[in-house]
Amino acid sequence: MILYMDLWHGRCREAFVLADGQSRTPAYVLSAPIATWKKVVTSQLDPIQGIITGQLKLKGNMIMVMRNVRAAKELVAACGRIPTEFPV
Amino acid sequence: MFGRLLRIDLTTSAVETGQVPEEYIREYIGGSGLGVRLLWDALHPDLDPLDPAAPLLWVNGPLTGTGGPTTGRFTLCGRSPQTGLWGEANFGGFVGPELRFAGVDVLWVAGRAAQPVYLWIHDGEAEIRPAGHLWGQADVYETQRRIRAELEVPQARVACIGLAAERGVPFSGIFSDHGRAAARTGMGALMASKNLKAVAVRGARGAGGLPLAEAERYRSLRLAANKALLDETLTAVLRQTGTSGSAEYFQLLGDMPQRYWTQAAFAGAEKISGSAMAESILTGTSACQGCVISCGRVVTVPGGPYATRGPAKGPEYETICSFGSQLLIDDLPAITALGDLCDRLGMDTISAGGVLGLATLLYKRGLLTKADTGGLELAWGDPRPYFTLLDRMARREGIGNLLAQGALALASAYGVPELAAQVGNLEVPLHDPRAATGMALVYVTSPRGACHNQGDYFMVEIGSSIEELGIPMTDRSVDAGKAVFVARHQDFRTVCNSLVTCIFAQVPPSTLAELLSAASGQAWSVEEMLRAGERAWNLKRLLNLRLGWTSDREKLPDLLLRPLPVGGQAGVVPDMELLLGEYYAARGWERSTGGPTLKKAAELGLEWVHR
Repeated sequence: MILYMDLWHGRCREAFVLADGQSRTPAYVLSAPIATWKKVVTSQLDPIQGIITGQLKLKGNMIMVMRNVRAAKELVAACGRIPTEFPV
Repeated sequence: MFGRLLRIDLTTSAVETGQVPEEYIREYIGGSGLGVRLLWDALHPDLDPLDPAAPLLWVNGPLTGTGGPTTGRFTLCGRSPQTGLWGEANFGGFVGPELRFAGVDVLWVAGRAAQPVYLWIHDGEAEIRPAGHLWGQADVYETQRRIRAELEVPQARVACIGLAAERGVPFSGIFSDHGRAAARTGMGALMASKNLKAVAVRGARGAGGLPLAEAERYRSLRLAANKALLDETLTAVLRQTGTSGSAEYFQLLGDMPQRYWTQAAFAGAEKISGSAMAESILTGTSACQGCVISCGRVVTVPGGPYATRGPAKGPEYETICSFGSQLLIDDLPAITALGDLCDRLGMDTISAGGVLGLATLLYKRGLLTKADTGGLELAWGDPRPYFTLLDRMARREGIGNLLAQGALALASAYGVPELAAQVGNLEVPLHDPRAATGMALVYVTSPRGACHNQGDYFMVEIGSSIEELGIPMTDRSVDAGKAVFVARHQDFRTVCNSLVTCIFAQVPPSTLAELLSAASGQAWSVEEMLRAGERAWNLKRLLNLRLGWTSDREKLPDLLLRPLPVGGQAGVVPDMELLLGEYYAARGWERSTGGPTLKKAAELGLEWVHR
């Protein structure tokens, strides 16, 4: 499953499931098994911990990510407030 | 096979070649593990670290220079002039591989030359050359350049000492390449005591001359391992932002110490992090031999008071903290300049920066005065006086002579030894043990004093569990139950320090075992490697007990046991008694002796030490 999110200056302008990963060229690609995502969204795994320790694979500009660790944590916390059904 | 020994006595100029006993390699692998076994018979409490008879070992590992993941490293070993205990300093860059290319796996240097000399090792030969013209040279980069020029071998790799080592500063190191340093435990002072200014080395055959038992298998394994390492997210973080890329995150966790361990929130962290460097003064990267990570920083500050002389070494995490957050300096060019000066003079930035932080704390508390500092005013956030103090420290002039003796000596001189952040007289590195309490245990049990390279357990506590070893992520503020994992992690890091590989690389232990098996032609399992690591860890402990270490010295300074009111580690203080009690049980050690029980020693094949 591929989820596309458009983040712009603190706002999430759109988010949807992508049928084809090739149809977009995002600045970042963050990938992990669904079980790991569940840990992140349910606050069992800190997203920056996940990145540093390789549980979340991230491709993109690390300078920006490591610069904005607080924002990254907030983003995930916001995701965690959305009612979610997990397939696993 | 691995184990080629070159022994040089600088008193007699005797040069001998030989072979390390095969069983030592099977039991200790190489690097600092092999180093402690080789030095066991040579080091005694009545042998001063600076006595001519006290050896300095340059020990490669069986993977050094092979192109395997992060294998461009080796280790310097001896009795530390700084701590009086076991000393080892891990060295990146190119010198270790070049030594192996030249046919030397272990270089044993003893004696004292009548006049300053340097060694020129090339293709199985060693020459002792005069270095009187280089003695007093106050810049380790210039020393390297001059030696290469006079040898007329531009490809030669040179490891040298600086002015601080010549003046006997106990935390002076050995430097090579673009700012690579074997900085900790005073191996530079030990080298200087032999009147040895530098070791230059060239192995014309390159990696092709390395003895690998199963060369083709090794090649396949190393290519796959390097590819996997290259795909790791942490590798991308280190490559793009250097070791200080995590500074802002560590600040959030309370791991990044500030104002000499007395503060937990520093707004300037975002101005000095690896990201800030990448967005401002970064102009390149540098790597150790064969490394795919390339965490070294190259920076250029074109103008202003801290302009660099062309491309310069950019500070790594420890230096960012030592000369940045610990002094509340948020000026990246100034931190770069302080780190560069410290390197050029040949001192360890962790210890030197720690001493400056303590001096400032004492000054702000009115204990150290302007009369003591020779008129310098010390203020948090002002980098200017530290340039003068570093220079005086290296030259041991004025207040610099006291500073050069380290944090414990400085604090003791003013009647407040509890404020010196050190264990075993080695200044504490820049990961706050209140933010990841496993580090408290690592610091007090490390064989070389407070050290994060004997166990970077803070990484485990922020999520770097190692499932293959049964090491889970442990809660960084809960003490109970983690000692057994700290001990196992130390054993694994001792394996890394024996192979010798870098702790920044996330290489599965089973991959390391496969690489070692292919390189040596002997089958190694993960558990056999760990047992070798545990054996070396225990032997270092037994050596330290012989050299005067006692278990009652296993404590953190009072300064680090005071809770901070805010920040990522607010209110947390490690329970040392609980941690140590569980640790001794996990290790099979006795509190009464500070070392392994006879049963544990026998289990590790160390009963001969007990006898």
